[in-house]
Amino acid sequence: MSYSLGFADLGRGFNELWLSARLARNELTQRYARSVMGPFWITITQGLYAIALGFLVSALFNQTPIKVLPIIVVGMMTWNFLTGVLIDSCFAFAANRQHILNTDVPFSTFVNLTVFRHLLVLAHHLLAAVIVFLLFRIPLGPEAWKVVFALPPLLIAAYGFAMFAAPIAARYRDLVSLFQSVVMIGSIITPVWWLHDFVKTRREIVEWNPLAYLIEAVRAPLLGTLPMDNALAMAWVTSFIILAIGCFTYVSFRRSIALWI
Amino acid sequence: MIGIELKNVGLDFPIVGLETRSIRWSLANSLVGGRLGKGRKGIISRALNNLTTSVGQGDRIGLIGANGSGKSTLLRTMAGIYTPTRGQVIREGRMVTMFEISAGMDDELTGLQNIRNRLYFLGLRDKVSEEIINEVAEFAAIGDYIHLPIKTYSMGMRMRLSFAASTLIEPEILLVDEVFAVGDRDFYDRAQARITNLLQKAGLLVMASHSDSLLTEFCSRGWVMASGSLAFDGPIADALDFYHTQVARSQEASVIVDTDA
Repeated sequence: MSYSLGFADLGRGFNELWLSARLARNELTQRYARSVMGPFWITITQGLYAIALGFLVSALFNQTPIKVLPIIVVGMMTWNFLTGVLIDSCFAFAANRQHILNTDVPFSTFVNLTVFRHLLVLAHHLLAAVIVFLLFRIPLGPEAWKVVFALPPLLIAAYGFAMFAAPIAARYRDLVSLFQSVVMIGSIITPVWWLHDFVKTRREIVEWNPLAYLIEAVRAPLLGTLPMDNALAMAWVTSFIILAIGCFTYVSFRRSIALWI
Repeated sequence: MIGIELKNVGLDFPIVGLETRSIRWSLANSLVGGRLGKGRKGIISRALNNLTTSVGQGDRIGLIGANGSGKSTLLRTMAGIYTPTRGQVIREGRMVTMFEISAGMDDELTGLQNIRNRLYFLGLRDKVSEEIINEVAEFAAIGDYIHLPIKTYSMGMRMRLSFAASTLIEPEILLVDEVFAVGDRDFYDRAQARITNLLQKAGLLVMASHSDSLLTEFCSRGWVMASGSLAFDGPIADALDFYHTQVARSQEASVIVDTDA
């Protein structure tokens, strides 16, 4: 089997990460050029959405808005990054058919491009988060700096998702709608806009959810909330499992991608 | 050693239809033990069939054949974009492809910005400078249009830009598909001077075209493709003669229905 072809492609894509970054930047500047507010529309909608949801959730769970707001803001930031990469990767090859069929460029360039694009979106969400935090004078947790240990798993998992979704979606065009359904359900059962300890019974909802750990590992130190057990370790383990699955999928299907798109 | 060697190369193209494009359909089908798909046949097209040949330094190959005879597929297989289903492609040398005129170009960006991007796609990050970009622009000779978005360009102008950028680094292997058809006389003269120069520096050219005059002008050896096989390999004049007398009339693209696929 020619797994080597897929690994070589991933390696070349890594060597040319700057190309992916440049393409992502091009996309962004073109979006800036077309509207007055440009991508900051993302920032504004994200901020308003979080505030609106904050008041609802605080009423539902009998909490103060000031307590739930930062939970929602950080939760959605991480969740949207992961699922955004997953769904967008479904178009990674189909949308770049022109480049793939006509130039000698590693296919993984477009997988990396998807991750970069969502890192840029994440930056806009981060801006929304900072604004909300300042606006409502929300304090950070005492050990907020520890969040740096939780960010690599987030990136690794996103990369794994991208390598997994992109080749399969090139073959099965309705994969994206399947993912959209899963993500919609997932956004309710995962502690995105609520905190894991809001759930007193049926703890397995959060404890068996690998994505919960990825989110919690980032959120708990940042906000100084009570962390889930072994959140950070579980986040690392989860991210490497996702990476391994993604990597295996990519190298298995790499040889057929050009024929499918 | 610069060259491309094809050993018994075969390529099957899966024709994926509506049902086979759907992952939900496939999942449902596997749940009922494949009964949904009874009587349905997977279709593959045998795009390349048992090709064995080689190209070496200084060779200028003209690819001749009717529509659907496998010229573009062969070029993409030689470029490593399609991975052969059977056999082997061994390629050595710095390769540049010119398959579609607008490949790797962005309609919204200006000529200069596109030159820069194209050079990046060719893996020339280190070489890119204002000077180099101006050199490309000068060869393309499209005047002040170079500052306008390329959506305002004619096909010929796009092709000039693409050729100028593609041949800047003096590729050792240049694969060209049909794109020259839109150039004007003045451009051909300069393009030919550049290609002659390139071949003197031990490069090789494989070019597909339907224009006899272009083929005789640029190529010394001809390959005639028929139904995915190599029907003739010899001097270009003989190849054209062979094509016009033997192949052209009896052409029919072949699609093979394969029950096992």
